[in-house]
Amino acid sequence: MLEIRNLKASVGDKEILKGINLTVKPGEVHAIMGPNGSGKSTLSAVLSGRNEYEVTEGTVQFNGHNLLELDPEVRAREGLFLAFQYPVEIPGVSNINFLKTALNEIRAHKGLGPIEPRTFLSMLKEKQALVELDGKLANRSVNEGFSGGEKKRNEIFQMAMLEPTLAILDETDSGLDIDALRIVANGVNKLRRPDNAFVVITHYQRLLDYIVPDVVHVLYKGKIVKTGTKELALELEEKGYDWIKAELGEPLNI
Amino acid sequence: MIRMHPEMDLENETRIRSTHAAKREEAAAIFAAQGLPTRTWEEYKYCDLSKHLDWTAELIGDVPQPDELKVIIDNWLSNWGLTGARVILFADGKPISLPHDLPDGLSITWILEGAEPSAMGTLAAPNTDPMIARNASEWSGGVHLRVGQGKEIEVPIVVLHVHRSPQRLRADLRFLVEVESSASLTLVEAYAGVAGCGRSQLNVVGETLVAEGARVTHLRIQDDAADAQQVNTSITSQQANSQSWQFTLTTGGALVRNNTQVQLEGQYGEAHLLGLYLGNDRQLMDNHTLVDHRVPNCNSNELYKGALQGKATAVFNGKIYVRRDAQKTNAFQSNRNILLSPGATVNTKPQLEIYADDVKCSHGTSTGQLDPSALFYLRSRGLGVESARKLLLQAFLDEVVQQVTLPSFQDAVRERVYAWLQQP
Amino acid sequence: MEIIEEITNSDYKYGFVTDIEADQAPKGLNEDIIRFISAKKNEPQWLLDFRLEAFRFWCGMQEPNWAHVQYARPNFQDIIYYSAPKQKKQLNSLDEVDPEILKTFEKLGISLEEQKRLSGVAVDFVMDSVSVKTSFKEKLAELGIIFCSFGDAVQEHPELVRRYMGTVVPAHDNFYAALNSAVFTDGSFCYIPKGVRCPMELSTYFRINSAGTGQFERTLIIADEESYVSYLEGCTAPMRDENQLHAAVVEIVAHRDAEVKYSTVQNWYPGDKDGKGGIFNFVTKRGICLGDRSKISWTQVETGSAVTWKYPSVILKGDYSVGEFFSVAVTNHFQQADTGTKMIHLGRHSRSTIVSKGISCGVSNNSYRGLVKMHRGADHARNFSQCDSLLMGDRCGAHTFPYIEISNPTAIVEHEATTSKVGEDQIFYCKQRGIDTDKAIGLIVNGYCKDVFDHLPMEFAVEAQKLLSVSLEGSVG
Repeated sequence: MLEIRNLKASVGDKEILKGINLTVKPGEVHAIMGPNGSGKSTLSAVLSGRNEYEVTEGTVQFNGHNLLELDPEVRAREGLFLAFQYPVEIPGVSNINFLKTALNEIRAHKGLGPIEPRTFLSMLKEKQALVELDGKLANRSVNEGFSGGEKKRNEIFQMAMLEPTLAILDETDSGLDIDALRIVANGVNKLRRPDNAFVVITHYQRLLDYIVPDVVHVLYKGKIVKTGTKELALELEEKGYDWIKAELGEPLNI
Repeated sequence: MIRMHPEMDLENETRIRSTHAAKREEAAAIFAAQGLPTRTWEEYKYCDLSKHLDWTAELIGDVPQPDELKVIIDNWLSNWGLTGARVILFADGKPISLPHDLPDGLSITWILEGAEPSAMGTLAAPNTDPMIARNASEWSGGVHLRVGQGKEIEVPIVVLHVHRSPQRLRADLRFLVEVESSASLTLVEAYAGVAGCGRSQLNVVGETLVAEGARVTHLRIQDDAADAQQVNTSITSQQANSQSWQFTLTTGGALVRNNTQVQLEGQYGEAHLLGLYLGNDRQLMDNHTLVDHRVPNCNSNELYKGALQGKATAVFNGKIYVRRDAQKTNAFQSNRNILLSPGATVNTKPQLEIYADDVKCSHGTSTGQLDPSALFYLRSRGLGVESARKLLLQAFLDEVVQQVTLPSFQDAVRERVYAWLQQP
Repeated sequence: MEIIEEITNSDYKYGFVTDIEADQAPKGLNEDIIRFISAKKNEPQWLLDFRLEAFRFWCGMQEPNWAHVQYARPNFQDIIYYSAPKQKKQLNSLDEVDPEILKTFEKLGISLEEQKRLSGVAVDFVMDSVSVKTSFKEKLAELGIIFCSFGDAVQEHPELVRRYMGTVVPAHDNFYAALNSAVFTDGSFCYIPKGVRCPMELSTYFRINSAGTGQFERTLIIADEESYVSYLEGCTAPMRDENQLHAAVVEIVAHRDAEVKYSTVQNWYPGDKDGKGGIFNFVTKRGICLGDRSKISWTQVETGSAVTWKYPSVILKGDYSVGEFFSVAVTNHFQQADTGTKMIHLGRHSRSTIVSKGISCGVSNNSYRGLVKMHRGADHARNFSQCDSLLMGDRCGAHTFPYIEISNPTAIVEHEATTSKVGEDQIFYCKQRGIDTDKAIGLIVNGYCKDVFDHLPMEFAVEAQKLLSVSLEGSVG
């Protein structure tokens, strides 16, 4: 589904991704962990097509397409979804209007006509329940005046509505209390299917207690330095990122 | 210690006439064509100078005795918490004395006919405003301050205009301030009337050039006699990484019109404009400000507040102008007024003129009364209506006072505001 | 609500010319032309006198130059001041309407049949200065509501016209109002009797048609005590190369406890991408809240015209009266708009609200100019103004010129203004959800204008949102 080969990317003169290799197959959940500044958010930004990052080398294949050649909206229509670390507020645009527009764009891309209003409404209700999102929020402007937790839940709600094949969750757990975390994770788990995949980017292990990954990668200084099973995440939690540094033969900051 | 103004030498004057008459005549022609601004001029819509000003009075008054001078200066300085500051004195519209024992790097000289500094007139163009034209044609005295590169002048320099003659007087005066790169200066421009003085009419044009990395604090105190009239044009030009703080306190005068302009001409410049006006009786206080963002990445911040009693009128016209190239500008402007009596009037016109898209600009203005719920709260704690009102008013005005640098001066301003509030 | 469909082409969608043989006056303006217009319309002597007096005022007036707009001054002697479509007889049904006109309706996407059947809107369709059709007249007549062309009102209700005309906008009010008062050809008249709530939105579609025809509409709306009416004005105009002048006058009178809601969607030809052609829109719109607790509300969406000069205003004379102004003004390419409102508070406890959203794109200039005046006697009057500007691109300008004059210590006036741009992060967020840049901007800007659109009647809001998206297309690369 997703095949990243030797991906290098930089901002200005600064190289941030220094050769990423990653393969994600349908039905899998991958976790990418790493300390601050390791390049986690850069990876999600490059995959979703933010133009402030320049890809200097490497390829990304997504469902048979050269992902890096596609505009951000085409990537989205092809089934790539990014749950933003900092969801953006759009005053005056209701969540419902926003989602309907997005959904119909994606449908049009697949050669489908606009969704029936009735189908849309029942879908809306069903997915709202999934993330325990208050129905009133759907009528409010996109993310405007939402609490941190509501914003993150709204991201998962949008994901549920748009039914992507690959969802990247960029530090979705940051700023969430334990209840919100459980709600978000439950939402994700219910959306897991054999034909879709998730890449969960996180700093902490605790999210992985709820969303159990098939593969865990450790990203450090722009490279994946370790790959393992969910036990790797626990080990990381226990030993801290200094353990990775030590393994790599770097001096520890003690 | 003071240096007296040199007597004009007649022979010298004649020579000057021939070389500098052209400039004066050009300005005089502009003024003659335009005359005093009337209300049909957009910029003088609320301040019809042709109606208010009477420019027939002549420059009159004797030169005060040095001991009289010393008393005036010392009293004034101590009233405003500026004891120790150096004073440039004008009395009754005439240049009188300059301070000596100046800090290293600061030079202060009179502007003399025929020996005008080259920078004079570079910011104030006669064709932009009839009052500038008037001044350029008629100016009779002025002072030039210059701070050398990298020199930080700690002691405040005061340009004090005292009116003491019982006769009416009129004068067109100038000042020019040049602060070279990375230097700094605190300038206090003050107008005061001694009890019993005649009506003074001043038309002042000031130009301040702030070089790269330099800092200027310009404090203006307009606490003139009740019937004084003043038109005050002050134009500040700022180069890269420079900072300016301007504060104008207007309490005195029958008519005060301030044209305060800041031109941001170098990147990462910062301008702060503060104003406080307290009007009573039939006073007319008009503050026109222009912040001209000419280059990218500059910040400006403006806060003017006023309280009006009696039949006083205040005008605030603030313009933020952001030119096409001035991307990443942050400009903020706020004007708040409180009307205290049924006869008082406020005319406010906050303007934004924006030609660049990646900017953050906003202005806000409000006019009203004290918050009734706050008033009620204070009364429920036992305060009388009057003292509660005064307390809230002082809090309202103090937002500006708090931002005035120079702690001892800030206290003096606060006291002046308090004294104004105690008037019946 | 489907707000961003139907965006196919940013070129002027309604650019077509209806071919109707016009019955025209010769070019130019003098007292004879005014007599010709008056005679053509079979007017009483007092109205001719009103026109001639206005004309004499106008002759002594200067064209105003204080607005933040620049344009080639119209040659007032090069304008045809009267032009009427052929009208053979009084019409009773749609079948009798000129098929050309019905075709025009179809192109506009608003068929009169549909309008009548679906929304119950009575449409008074003004084409080239003379009304050709008024529907729902009978139903309105039952309630005693008069809704007719201005010309008919002069014939059938001269006492009402004479009593109110020129009382809100005097003939000598300003240069363009004086011109209109001298040469107006037709317009709309509306009277809502005491205690009547008009059950439908009253709607007039204005169109400018014949080449070189200045348009001088005149509208007079009178809401008698305790009445209510919502009035819609929508405009589209055919593409033209030469500039056309439009100088309308709208007067509204609201008596005690009456409410008038006046909504406009204006989409006249703005000129092409190079700034060639386009309508000059110099309009005087003013209402007076004459009685206590009366209310006048202006809502406008301005996307068209090359030059707009327009300040729908309210004089709040009655105690507890209410004035409102909600505006969206979009300028693109070489368009210039100087628009805003005046809220003149005379009455005690009068309240006004101003919400203005200006959007500048291309090399256009968009100015808000407004006056809030609190007179001595306006005890406890209140105003709140919010003026926001959105700039798209770095060659346009957005300006705010509020005039606030307060002479009452119990009045409260608050004004806020901001300038901003559409956030890159907002656009990216939309794109990540599959929405392309143009649609994202349409969506975001429509959101930005929501506070104003919320005040438009439903059908109008949909139309306005579509217009907005169309006029913004391609504004950000």
